[in-house]
Amino acid sequence: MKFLDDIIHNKIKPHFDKGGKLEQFYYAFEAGESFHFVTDKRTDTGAHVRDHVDLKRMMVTVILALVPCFLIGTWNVGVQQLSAAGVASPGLVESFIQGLGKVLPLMLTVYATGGTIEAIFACIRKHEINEGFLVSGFLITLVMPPTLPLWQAAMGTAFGVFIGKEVFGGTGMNILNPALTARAFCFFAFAQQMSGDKVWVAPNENLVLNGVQLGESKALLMHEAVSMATPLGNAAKTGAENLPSTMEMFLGTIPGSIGETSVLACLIGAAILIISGVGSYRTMLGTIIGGAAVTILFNVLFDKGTVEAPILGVNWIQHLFLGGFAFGLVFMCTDPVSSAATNTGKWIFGILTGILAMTIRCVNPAYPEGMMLAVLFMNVFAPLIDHYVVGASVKRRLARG
Amino acid sequence: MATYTLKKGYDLRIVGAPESTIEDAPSPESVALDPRDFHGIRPKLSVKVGDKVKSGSPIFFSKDCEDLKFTSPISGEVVEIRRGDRRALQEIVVKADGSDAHEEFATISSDDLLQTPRETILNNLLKSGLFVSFNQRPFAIVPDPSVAPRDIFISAYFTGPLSADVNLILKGNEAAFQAGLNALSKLTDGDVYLSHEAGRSDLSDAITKAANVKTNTFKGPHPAGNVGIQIHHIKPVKKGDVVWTIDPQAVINIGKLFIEGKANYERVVAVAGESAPSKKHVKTIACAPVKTVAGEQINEAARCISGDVLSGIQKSANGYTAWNSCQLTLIPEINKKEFMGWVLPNPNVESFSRTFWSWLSPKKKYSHNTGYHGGERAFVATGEYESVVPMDIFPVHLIKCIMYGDIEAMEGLGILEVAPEDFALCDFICVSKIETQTILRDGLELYRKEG
Repeated sequence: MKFLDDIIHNKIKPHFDKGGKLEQFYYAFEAGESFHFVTDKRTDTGAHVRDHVDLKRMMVTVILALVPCFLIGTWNVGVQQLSAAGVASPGLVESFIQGLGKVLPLMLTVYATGGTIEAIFACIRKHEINEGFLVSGFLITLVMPPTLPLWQAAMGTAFGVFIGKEVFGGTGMNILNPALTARAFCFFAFAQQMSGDKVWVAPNENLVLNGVQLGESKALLMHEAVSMATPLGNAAKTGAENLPSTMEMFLGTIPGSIGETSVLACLIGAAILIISGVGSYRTMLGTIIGGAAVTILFNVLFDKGTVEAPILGVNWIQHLFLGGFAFGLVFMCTDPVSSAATNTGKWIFGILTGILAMTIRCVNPAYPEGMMLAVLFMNVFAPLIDHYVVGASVKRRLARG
Repeated sequence: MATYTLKKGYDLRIVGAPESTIEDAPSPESVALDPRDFHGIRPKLSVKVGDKVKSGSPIFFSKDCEDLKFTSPISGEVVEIRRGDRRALQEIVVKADGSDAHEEFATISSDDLLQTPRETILNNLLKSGLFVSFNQRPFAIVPDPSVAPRDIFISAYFTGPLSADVNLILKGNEAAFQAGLNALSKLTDGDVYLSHEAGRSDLSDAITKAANVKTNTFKGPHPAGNVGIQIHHIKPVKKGDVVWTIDPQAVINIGKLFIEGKANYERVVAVAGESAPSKKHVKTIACAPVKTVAGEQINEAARCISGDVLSGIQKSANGYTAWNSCQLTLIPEINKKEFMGWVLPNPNVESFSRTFWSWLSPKKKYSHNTGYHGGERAFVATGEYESVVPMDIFPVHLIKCIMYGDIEAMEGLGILEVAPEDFALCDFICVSKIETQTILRDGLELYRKEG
């Protein structure tokens, strides 16, 4: 520790200090330094003692909550790939390594793109690099399908970080959730790779299928061969009939975006967020209530024969397990910056997001995934919700007369 | 009498609580008044170096209101006047001469106070300098004596970290406390409200048998004992209202002023904190040197805080305690960078959040130093401030509209009801390390000038 301390502060730091030749990159250095050492700055105004928690700690807790989604998601990518290639029962480690081969390049691309933009803005604006991007980068990776070409992931990330966050002033000032902005960009810009309800399973030209090594010439064929509809895509077409079992959906052994498939992993993440106090249980519960209410209503209408679209007949519990709903409600709705800030507002935000997500999913004929659009839409309304909640307090104050 | 149970708030689990013993501090060799300890005044000196002063003689007064006098707590000689940038007054040091020379005041018995005209009581308080123990809401400033307050509020429930025991302050001063309450009741056409801890069985008779006051009880984590929080629940400050607040020690001093005909500036001060050589209560004089109160052998590298660790005033080890303070806290300064501190589970540090493993041992006490433990960031976390401010107020929104200077919005969000100390826990828990107390003080000043 002493050794590292010495190198960082005596050998490297002088170059970045005022007058040093790398002066304009001071904030990039600062990010590296504060990554290793928590500041020893002393309080001089206000409270003399401060909580040990800081934004880094908070962000690391979110990442910790995301790890189960990452692990199970990566494993599932491998499982889907191998089973599509005809491997009967792929092993745990084998599947995970196979998945990692897809997920890791994607994650590195996302972090490299976003991190560079973040660092450039920090140096220009002369503020410390915000650790918010550690979480955004993780989230962006997990909401993308494993098949997404890397250049598209880079484009999406750049858009998400730039338009979703930096133009508003950086972390803490953004209106939209940067990760979902990135996904929305890819969703609309590269519709073939994203919103098609088929291309979810990662193809791999090096796979050995039926004893024959598939060369590059066959990659295209392979692509076609292993493309598989997501259960949600299926549900939209044929309703409850072709759905995987509830247990499969719970564990997450279904095709889908990397992190979204496992409800179990999302539940572990939710537990970490709620216990640590980093994520709001109000938003999460609100979203579940809103989503369940709408789907139950649709179920009733379907049973009565009032409506006929097959997806409306999918049991409401399965609806909660399907697609990105669980992942979105745990990790996207609870984003403290772009969600509502007041406690009452969080309930309203959650319930409306749930209602909207399920409505888009069930009623919109174009694409079956509603969570992303619902959250982004509600992000825009979050300040309005807060405005009225806070306004009510102002009115109470005046009414005291 | 009503009982208020507050759920929001947080009791800091910090080591170094003062023991329930009380002893006399040596009589101070010097005292110093610091105008910076008071808010809302512009000081003008009434003495110069070399002047002899008696106990109760004015040292300085407020330019805006000459009746607001700040008086010497001891008899002696003005030996030094310290100034800071742009010659701003910092400290006026009076060296004790050991005599009991004091200004004379009218003697009025406790019962007679109830028949004494308001003017007489007010003039005696102003002349003795004890008046500046009052604090005014809104704005948390020294009040304007020409405006009669709607009500006067006293909190005898100290919930701040490592705070003094109110029983020890009141012990032996029961009669003086009641006399003080009688005097206060004449200063307002409204009521004098006295709040204390609900369910405390050993509470001093001075409180349980207090007359001519309205009593309420509070229970809950800090800041349930803050007088501002109590006012919000008992009878909130509305636009145009002015209320005064005062602490029990000052009420005793006021009582003694009339009973003894001599201004009394005694203080019972809790000496607390990890770095305090002995943690106890001591009886001393207002503005006494830190070393007289805490002991000569204190570690000079420690942070000396006149008040509690959340909203106290920083003083140097060779400095003097603040006028109104009933607590002196000494804690270690931070002196090293913590390696990877933001990622390790670290069960040995306290946090309001449950992101450290220390949340699994809620009874344990923790050491605290003066580090920020993180860099300043934009507001990110939400809902945390609300959970430590037990008022119908949205702290984040209030702080934000102070930051962009919207006076009308500040008023709507309740700035007239709050003092920086009520938001002190926000300073502590903030993940973005935002200086909420400082921002709030700026907002109060802005509103006072332009609102």
